[in-house]
Amino acid sequence: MAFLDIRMLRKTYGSAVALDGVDLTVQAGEFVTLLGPSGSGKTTLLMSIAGFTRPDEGGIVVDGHDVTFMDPEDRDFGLVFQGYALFPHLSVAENIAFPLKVRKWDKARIAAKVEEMLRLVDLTDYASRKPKQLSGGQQQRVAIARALAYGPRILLLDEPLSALDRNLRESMQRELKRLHQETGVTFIFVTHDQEEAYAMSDRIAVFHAGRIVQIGAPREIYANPQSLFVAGFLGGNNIFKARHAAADGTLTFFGNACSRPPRFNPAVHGKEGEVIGWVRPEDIAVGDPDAAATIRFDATVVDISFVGSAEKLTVTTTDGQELTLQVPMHFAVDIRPGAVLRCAVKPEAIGFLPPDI
Amino acid sequence: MIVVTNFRRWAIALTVPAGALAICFYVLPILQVLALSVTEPSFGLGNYIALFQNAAIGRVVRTTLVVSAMTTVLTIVFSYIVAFALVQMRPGVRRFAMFLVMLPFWISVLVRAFSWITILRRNGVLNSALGEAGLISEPLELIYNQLGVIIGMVHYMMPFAILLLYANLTDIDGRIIQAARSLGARPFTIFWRVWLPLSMPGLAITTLFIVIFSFGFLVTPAILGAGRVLMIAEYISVQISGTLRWGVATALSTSMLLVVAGLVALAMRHPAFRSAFGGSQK
Repeated sequence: MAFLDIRMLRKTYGSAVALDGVDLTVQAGEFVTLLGPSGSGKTTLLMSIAGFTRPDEGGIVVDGHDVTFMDPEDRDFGLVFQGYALFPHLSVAENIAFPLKVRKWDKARIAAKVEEMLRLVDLTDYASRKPKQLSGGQQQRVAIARALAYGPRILLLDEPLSALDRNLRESMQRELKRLHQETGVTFIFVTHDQEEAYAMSDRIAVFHAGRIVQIGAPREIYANPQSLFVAGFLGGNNIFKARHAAADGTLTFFGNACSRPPRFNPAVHGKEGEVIGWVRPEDIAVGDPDAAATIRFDATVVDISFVGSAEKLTVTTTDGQELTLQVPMHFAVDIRPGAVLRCAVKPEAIGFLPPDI
Repeated sequence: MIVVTNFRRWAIALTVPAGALAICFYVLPILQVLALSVTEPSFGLGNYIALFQNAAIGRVVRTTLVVSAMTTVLTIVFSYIVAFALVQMRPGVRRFAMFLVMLPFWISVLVRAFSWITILRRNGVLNSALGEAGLISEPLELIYNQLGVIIGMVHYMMPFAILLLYANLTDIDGRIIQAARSLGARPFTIFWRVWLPLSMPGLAITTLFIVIFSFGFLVTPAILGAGRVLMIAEYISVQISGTLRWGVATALSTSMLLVVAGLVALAMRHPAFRSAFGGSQK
């Protein structure tokens, strides 16, 4: 039996459905990310696990105990908020000691634990500072130390890194990963940032309109989006339309017809007529000379923008579909808007989506 | 450095008429009156020395301090309870409760004082109700004494205190309270360890406000104390319009002004007060 077992959770606010029958099981010690746009229900699920939101239907079982209607203070979970929510009148050490005092630990044990937590988050020199004397990243580390001090079974994190700048965010991601490995606590992490989700999670649950639309390991989700929403939300993906002719078994897109790519399944993706496909920008080669198996097409450059590691090209195909592709910087030197490029893509890199989602 | 733009120049110019009016018809007359404390009846500090030697004034000052202190303590306790409850209410209920809190603002202080008389006097509403219920055999002495004055003053001060405390309590981030709960704290602990410490700036400002206000109460103590509870403001009023001892009255006024200014100056050394009085000069 799973450590955390969420069944058919439903929550509505008036006519708005926040959670529409969510099922989720999490193993002990797992790092699961709830990923989705704002309003998709991920925070409502987190707050239901924390105990601050009462679901209308369904249940939450932790380690064999039903906690669905248990008060948050009885759950023994750690919760890290987006705005840190540190006690402004208490020092760093007092903030970390708060849950221990509440649990009536004796003084020596509290002091030892606070010391240990400060070392864990590398804030030993800041023990007597007040929260407002710390940077955002340091405050976040205090919040995490405070939420981990009493050895919670689950640590819930509500977009804890969204207020930090990019560099700090990346180092905090590594820090969280390390803390997860060192403590062995089950982490449930809410974010709308897919890169953050990829970087840290064992599994990602993608939320859309109050449901989990796909759940799986980061690489699996990246490689196999199973719906238009997931393919589109996991940014940068090119989604295009193709025409399937069942009679001769060909697909027509980007102005040429080819035999069915290996990942195309007529029963799932469309028996006849228009079907939806996707291809990653990095899988489209420009001017690639080799491989007889590649699908080749011409595309006109609309826009070029520098993204740091590469040049991002926006092109239109002869059948009027817009694609994004990436080329090395040196390659783009001669390219101007209006130029026609010969592009190539391997058939196995093209994915397809069921039509009705 | 403040850059004086054209806009700023205009803005400053626009305050000149109001400023001039205030100086000519408010500040100067007050200074003129206060100056009487060192010129009436003869030049010197005689009036101030008299303040310390006069036993009657000593009694009045003591009464004022006791009544103000009691009023402040009771107002703060009751108002904090109401403000705390307001913060916890659902929005619809809160609107109605807020309406009830504001209601006294629309009723003249005079009307309120006389209403208290009908409630509190020997054969008033409260005493007859308690008597008929058999809870008391003799009417309680609720009015024309310090108790009556304090009841009236607490009632007058509470809406102000509630609004000040409510504003402070709503500033406390709800997530901090949620964090405390998620860390395992029970309501009682959260109140003592989180709500109360975070309310301290608001409580301090409200206390100062009530203390200063209480010193100057005139109508309520005059009516509900019926001359038996003489406070500084009423004493000054009697000296000015009754016994015509303007020198003593203005000396007393000046001293009170200095005490209040001293209190404010002392309080302003605390950052919470500075931000409360000085706006958002962070």
